[in-house]
Amino acid sequence: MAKTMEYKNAIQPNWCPGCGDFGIQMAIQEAASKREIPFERLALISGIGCSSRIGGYLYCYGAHTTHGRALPFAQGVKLANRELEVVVCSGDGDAYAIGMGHTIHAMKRNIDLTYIVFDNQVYGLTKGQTSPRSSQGFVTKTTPEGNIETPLAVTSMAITAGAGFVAQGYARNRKELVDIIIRGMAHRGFSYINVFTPCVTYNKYNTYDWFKENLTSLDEREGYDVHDPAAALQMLAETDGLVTGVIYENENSGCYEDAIGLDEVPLVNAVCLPSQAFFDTLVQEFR
Amino acid sequence: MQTRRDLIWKMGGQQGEGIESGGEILARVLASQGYSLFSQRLFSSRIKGGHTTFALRIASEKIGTIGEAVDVLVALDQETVDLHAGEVRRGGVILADAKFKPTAELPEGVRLLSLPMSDTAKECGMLQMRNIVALGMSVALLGFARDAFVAAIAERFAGKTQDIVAANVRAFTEGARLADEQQGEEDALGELPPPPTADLLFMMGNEATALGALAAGSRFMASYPITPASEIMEYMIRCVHRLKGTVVQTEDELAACMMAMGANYAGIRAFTATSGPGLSLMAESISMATMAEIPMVIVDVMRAGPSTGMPTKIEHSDIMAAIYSAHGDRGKIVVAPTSIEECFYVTAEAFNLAEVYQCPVIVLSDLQMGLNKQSIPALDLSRVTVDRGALVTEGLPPLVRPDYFERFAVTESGISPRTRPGVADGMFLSTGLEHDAIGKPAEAPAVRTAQVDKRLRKLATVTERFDPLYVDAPYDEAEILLVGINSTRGVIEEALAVLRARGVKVNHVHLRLLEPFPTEALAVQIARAEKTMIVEYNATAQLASLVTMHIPEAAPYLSYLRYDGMTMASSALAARVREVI
Repeated sequence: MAKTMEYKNAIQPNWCPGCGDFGIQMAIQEAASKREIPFERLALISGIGCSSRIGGYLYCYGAHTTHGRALPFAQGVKLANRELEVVVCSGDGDAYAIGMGHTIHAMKRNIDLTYIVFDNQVYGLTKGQTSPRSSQGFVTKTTPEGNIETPLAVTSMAITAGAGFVAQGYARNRKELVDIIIRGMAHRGFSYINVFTPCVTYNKYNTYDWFKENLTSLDEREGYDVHDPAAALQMLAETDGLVTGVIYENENSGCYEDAIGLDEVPLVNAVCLPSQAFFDTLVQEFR
Repeated sequence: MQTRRDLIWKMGGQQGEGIESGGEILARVLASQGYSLFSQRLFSSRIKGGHTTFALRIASEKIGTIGEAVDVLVALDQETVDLHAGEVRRGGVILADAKFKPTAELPEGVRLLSLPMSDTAKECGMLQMRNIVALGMSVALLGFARDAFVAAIAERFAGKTQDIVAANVRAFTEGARLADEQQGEEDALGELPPPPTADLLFMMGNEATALGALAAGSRFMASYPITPASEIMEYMIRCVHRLKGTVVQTEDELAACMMAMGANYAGIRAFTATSGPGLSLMAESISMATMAEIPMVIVDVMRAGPSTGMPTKIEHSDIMAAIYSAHGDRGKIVVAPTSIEECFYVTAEAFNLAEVYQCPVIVLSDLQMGLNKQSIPALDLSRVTVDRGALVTEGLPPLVRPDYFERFAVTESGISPRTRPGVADGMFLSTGLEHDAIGKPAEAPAVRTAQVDKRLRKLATVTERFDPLYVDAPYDEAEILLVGINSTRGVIEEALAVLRARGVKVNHVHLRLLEPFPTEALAVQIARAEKTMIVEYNATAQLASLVTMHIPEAAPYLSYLRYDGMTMASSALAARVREVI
């Protein structure tokens, strides 16, 4: 069994010192270690942005793809080889701006992936522009008068889009985040985890102090039922989505692979010519 | 009775009136009897309403176009007469529904048979069977035996109630009887020689393309519906589950291309199919596949552009887009089947090219081949091979953490050994960033140039591995060479037969490979002719521009262009050739 640190490769992340992303990377490593995933069976697919550089930082099969399109790529990976543990990482720009169409559709399609969004509410790699998650009034390079748009309520959106596992974590709360990721990986179907990760360089509004003051954990809520989507939506409305923990889970949602009857033998083990007899049956309809 | 080389039948009316299904029954029966067929469906981009026609050319020997002079035009409405009466040959017949009085002045020597199609259909049960009544009339006029049609109609409606089957059979028989009554000796169209007993298939290029993918071992497709490519996906959905595979209808073409790419990265043979607008959306992903050296096959069934253009009309205007639209220095392969059977063989080989050269391969097809069924020689599975190139999944030297496998090793051929997720000692990083041998992002000038050069160098042998040209060039000193791609092959072949019969020395080359461009092979053929004329469906002579760019020494080239959405006529092409030589 590989230790948490062994899931890290020798490449030095290019994140700023103090960036929340380090914490998320450690949590993914720890979850992989606890689930005893062999390195070669872990596929970490990411998009483009600061956070998506993580595709190159874990010791596993990493694929750093295009902006907003990590999810469709990852779904192809999983359908080709369902024996892989596929983890997809995006930033809030990747997931909720350029890739929003894919995000919603991955939720409703429900292929067995774990999707972790590194939500820093700002564009970091392009040096400080507004994001779909930026708070109203937030001053960035592209919103010098303050952001006038409404930040997307992503966790509520995920529930209404049909996601069977919806959770939110905080980069600084590693213990809880590791638990969430492990539960997400264990969930059969699409698991969605939004993780708050302070950008120490470009987001002077949603800082570590700010999160400390405003975030609450669902563990502290007595009697909260993760199986009740209506209660979850009510809670998210009341808290403005500033909670951490598993927000909603439907253990019986099944997954796309099961629904289409995909063979347990991965497709990757069956790349070959069809038999002449089978080919003849196909051609017969054209005679 | 005179013997005919071919018979051409055309039925026109409003979309939704069963024009296509009527034509389909006629074609099915004749195909099963061994006739060579060429069908053409003209339609608008809407579900119901709008003028539509289905034409069928029937012959006892191989044909390559829909032909030009219609023998029997079935008009379900006035519009059909207005638009198509001029296509009927002298001695031909216009068979019109008696519910309207055609107002057009008929061409000389063309007879009008006005028969009660609607009334007969209603008598037999319902107006919707008008197409079957018209089919019965057509079969009588064309002089084919009727039993097989009765059987085919019974089979077609087999899922329905006994009454519906009986009503349709009656509609057919009544139609045939009415036509018999009206027909005199002078109406005989002549008959076709009996067809040879060749093993033919009657299918559209889109079906052949999908079948080629299945033959090549592809069990996964991700695609977004688009005219005129959707049939590829629909065929896959119909068949792939029998091989335990699957098709995902994605949210858009961006997802389709990326999902297929992810599946290829994971080690299977996945593909997507689209038309021009979808190809534009896929450009970014194709660029990534080039950089990350991920094999993948993208089929583009070309239609008229730019933008939404004319979705149901033919054009060859994606040639440049297929080769150049993805950003960055290119490193991909573009192939173009020259016939429906090649849609099968070339698509199957495209999967080998993608894996051997570890790059995106675009299969350019066109609407004419894609959607219109033709008779083709039986497909030979033994001509299809599965070559996975430098994919290694076993026997790798042990990898010690934190080392990675050198997936992008700079080799002499430019092709590096490739592994896939799940392979223990083959771990590597994949990225759209420039990278080093293990896939780690790298921008050092030496690494950059080594990787760029490697990605370009690996394509040097494509023209040797893949037969880049279809060549029919018997003359060493030809008066003219005709060059085309995709469905113009049939048009050129028919023009060629006429021209050669008149003693004109015409050579013909059809390009099967557009990128990397087969400069040497084509230059040899160009040098053997006094002139070269490039035949294509677009306004800006994209193929001619490409030839000029690669073989400037023989430029300027003559162009034969059509871009009004209609297919070329071989007689017009032959006439043009005679003008220019």
